[in-house]
Amino acid sequence: MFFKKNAFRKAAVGTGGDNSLFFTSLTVAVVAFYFLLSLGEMDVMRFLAEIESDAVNKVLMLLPIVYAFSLFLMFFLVLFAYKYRAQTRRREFGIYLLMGMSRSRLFLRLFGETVISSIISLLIGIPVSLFLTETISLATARFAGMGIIEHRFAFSPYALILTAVGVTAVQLLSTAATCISLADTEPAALLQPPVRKNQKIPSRRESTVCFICGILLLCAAYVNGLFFLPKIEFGATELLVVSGVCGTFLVFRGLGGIIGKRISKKTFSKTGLAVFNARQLQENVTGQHKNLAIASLLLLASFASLSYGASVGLTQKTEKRSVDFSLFGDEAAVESVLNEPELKSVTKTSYDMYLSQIRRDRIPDYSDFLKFYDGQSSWFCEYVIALSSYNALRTAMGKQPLALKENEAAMYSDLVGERGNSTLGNDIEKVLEKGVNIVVNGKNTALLPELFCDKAVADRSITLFSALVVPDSVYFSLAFNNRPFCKNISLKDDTVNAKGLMNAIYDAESIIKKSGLEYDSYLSGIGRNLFYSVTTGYLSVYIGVLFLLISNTVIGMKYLIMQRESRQRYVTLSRLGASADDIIGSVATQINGYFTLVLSVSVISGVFAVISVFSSFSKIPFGVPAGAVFAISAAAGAAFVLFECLYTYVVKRTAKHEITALYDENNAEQSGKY
Amino acid sequence: MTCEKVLQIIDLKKTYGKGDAASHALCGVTFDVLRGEFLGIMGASGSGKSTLLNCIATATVPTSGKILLCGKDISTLSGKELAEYRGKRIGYLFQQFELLDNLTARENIALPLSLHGRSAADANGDIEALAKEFGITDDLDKFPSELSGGQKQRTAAVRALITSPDILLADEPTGALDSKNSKILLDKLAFVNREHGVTVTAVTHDAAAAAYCSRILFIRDGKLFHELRRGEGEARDSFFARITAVTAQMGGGSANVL
Repeated sequence: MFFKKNAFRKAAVGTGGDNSLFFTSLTVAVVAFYFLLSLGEMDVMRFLAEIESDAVNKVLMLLPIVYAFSLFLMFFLVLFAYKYRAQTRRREFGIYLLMGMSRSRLFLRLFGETVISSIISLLIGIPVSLFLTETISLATARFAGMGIIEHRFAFSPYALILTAVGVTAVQLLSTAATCISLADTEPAALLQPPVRKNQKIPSRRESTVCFICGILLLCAAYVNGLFFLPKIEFGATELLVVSGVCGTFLVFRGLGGIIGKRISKKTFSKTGLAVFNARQLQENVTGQHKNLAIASLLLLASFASLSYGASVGLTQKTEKRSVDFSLFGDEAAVESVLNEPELKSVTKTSYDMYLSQIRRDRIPDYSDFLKFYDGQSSWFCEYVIALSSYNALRTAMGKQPLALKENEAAMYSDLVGERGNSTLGNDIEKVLEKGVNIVVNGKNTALLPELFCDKAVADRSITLFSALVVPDSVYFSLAFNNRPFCKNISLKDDTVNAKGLMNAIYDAESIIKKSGLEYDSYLSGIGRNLFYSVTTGYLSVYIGVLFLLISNTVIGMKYLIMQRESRQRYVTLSRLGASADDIIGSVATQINGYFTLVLSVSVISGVFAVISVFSSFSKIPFGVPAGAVFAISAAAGAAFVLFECLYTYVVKRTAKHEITALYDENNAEQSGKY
Repeated sequence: MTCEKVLQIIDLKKTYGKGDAASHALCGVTFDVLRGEFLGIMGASGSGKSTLLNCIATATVPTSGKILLCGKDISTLSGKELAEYRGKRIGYLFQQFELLDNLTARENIALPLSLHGRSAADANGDIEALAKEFGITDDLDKFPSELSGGQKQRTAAVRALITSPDILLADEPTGALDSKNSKILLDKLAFVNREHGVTVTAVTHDAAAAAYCSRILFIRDGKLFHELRRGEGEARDSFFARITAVTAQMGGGSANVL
């Protein structure tokens, strides 16, 4: 009788309103796991594996750790969904037990329902996951201009199996937790609706002290993040985390009493259900202050991850294109490749890049420069570049060539853009603008008032922290090696415009590859940039979305559970003359207040977190406008807030549905009659 | 509103279910409640007394018949009018108090007022005055969890009376109280009935509580079958004895008082 098929299946699936949140949570878990585990199958990642195989492999090796972490977080999300569902079925369980079903049989039934729920969630979630991963794969490839990549349907059996195992495992664990909580509950207690425990409201003094201390600790964390973290002071990070976390907990602990104080002063003169709403909010905050603090911190982490991930991912600059290929090797072999008809037809210009270390006995004297530059106690440019080579490069880029007299030189660095060290670049330029000299070959040589950064080679065959661009005659007196460093090639603009940059370089590279010559390609830089964009962006956004969903589920489900526990109050209100509209309005007001409290703390902290991150750990790349980075960050933050508004709306709808059902149940015959 | 007949019940019927499974809770009840009366409705469990009160309180819809409050048929009330009826025209005293446990006593009392546009600040004087009559002045700023059963029920009574309703409906008001607190509550209700002319209709199975009434209607199997009036100047003990005799006979006793 107790395992009659239809009833069993029906119980597993449940009925509409209660289960939309439940199955949404499970579907989210399926999508989250599958998306993460199939990352390696995406078009972009497969392409990057060819170019940056080591880096990609490292990232893919991290996936199991991220998966385990996600499992841990998802467990809490699914657990809350199961708790909420169990609460709606209390009475049913009580009746089963009173009718003679043993607890062990009840628990076995629940596990059986879990397996069915798991299958249903997989049947819904896997197609959604496939659609999402395919869409994101295509969108990323298109956005990145990856016309060269063939799209391949990215179905991963490995991801599917692990997803199924993970989702089922968290559900079974959640069911086990539910069974443990039911194990000691008497059937009679199950028949009664859940009752809220009376909360001990802390004294006003205690609340005020907690609240003020919390605010002070949060302010300390903000100041630490803005001013001390960038200087990488010892203990700054630890202090920031401790003060921020403790501050958040104390703020929420004290908030209940603060709300209570306001009730006495402000709402006494209000009408309607203002007092009731405020008391409900006070009770919810007081009773759930730990959960609210945790949710707020998760939302903060989500906000920061999303803002950071979006801005870094979208503004990651490829080093400015200066050279398409740099060829190394025997001159004859290089010329032979250059004369290949297919390559020749697309080559705009090719030139020798004269670049060499400076002879030890000819190192220039930088005393005058150092008078103004505090960054280094000693300074020297280790390399020298011939003016003719550098001008050929600039001409290929469409820039004006430099004009240097015999007693002039230009300072060069390609690490300013490489490491994104905008501060260093700006500092050096400030010194150069003062008009400083160096001594080269015993002669005073004026440095041009500008730092030049156009990359001398296609990618990373050489990285120059500092070099001097000098007239050719001076070059050959300073250079350790008089032979050209490499042969640089730039492709025709027509070819690039017609085929697209990636395609043009890819086609040319296939010709050069066949020759067996050692070479550098700009494609590697694009690939590397894309790799950082994809991995940083994807993983940051993934973690951000995960935290967002979990924190919202915690807050939303907690609220709905609390609403169920206080349903008798709504019955009383209707008997005292509150209309359905009054009660629904009250619920909406409570939800707005509840979510706003949590969100406001996390958004304020999140803004400071993003500013701190960009001021300290992650410098804005040189040449990337700070405004663009912060604009994208703000847009991601706005999207975050928009999502929260949408989620609040969904919770309000669910709450309204429950309250309406409750109102109708208690005025069952009234509806439409009176 | 000053109407002579506060409540008119006309041939009220209530049936649950249909056909062979139908249960007739009320089978055509007719009576009036006059202004200033303290009416008791007595009957055994399942007699229909609670159903009758629920119909008057609009917690359930009668199958047929009419309920008029000061001449207005309550079956014509719409959503907002219905809410106003429940919040202002009648006061309801629940057996289990039904105080909102997260509001103070003062806030609970003010709730029906604020639901209909009057703030607690405006009504503070009335709240204090009525609280004083019911002996709960010192308890106004406490939460229900800090009150005894008697204090809770008196708080609930003040809440039911604060809107100056046309009629106070009490569903087993002493059902959850001990004898001492029952007496305190009933004394207070009798006081407001006597001194302020509050019309009260109380459903009870307790003869001691019923003895406070000026008139008792006995209900059995959904029908009114007997009425007892308290004589002018009749002592409560004497009325109690007559009530007890009726209930005894209803239970199969030999005293021929019906």
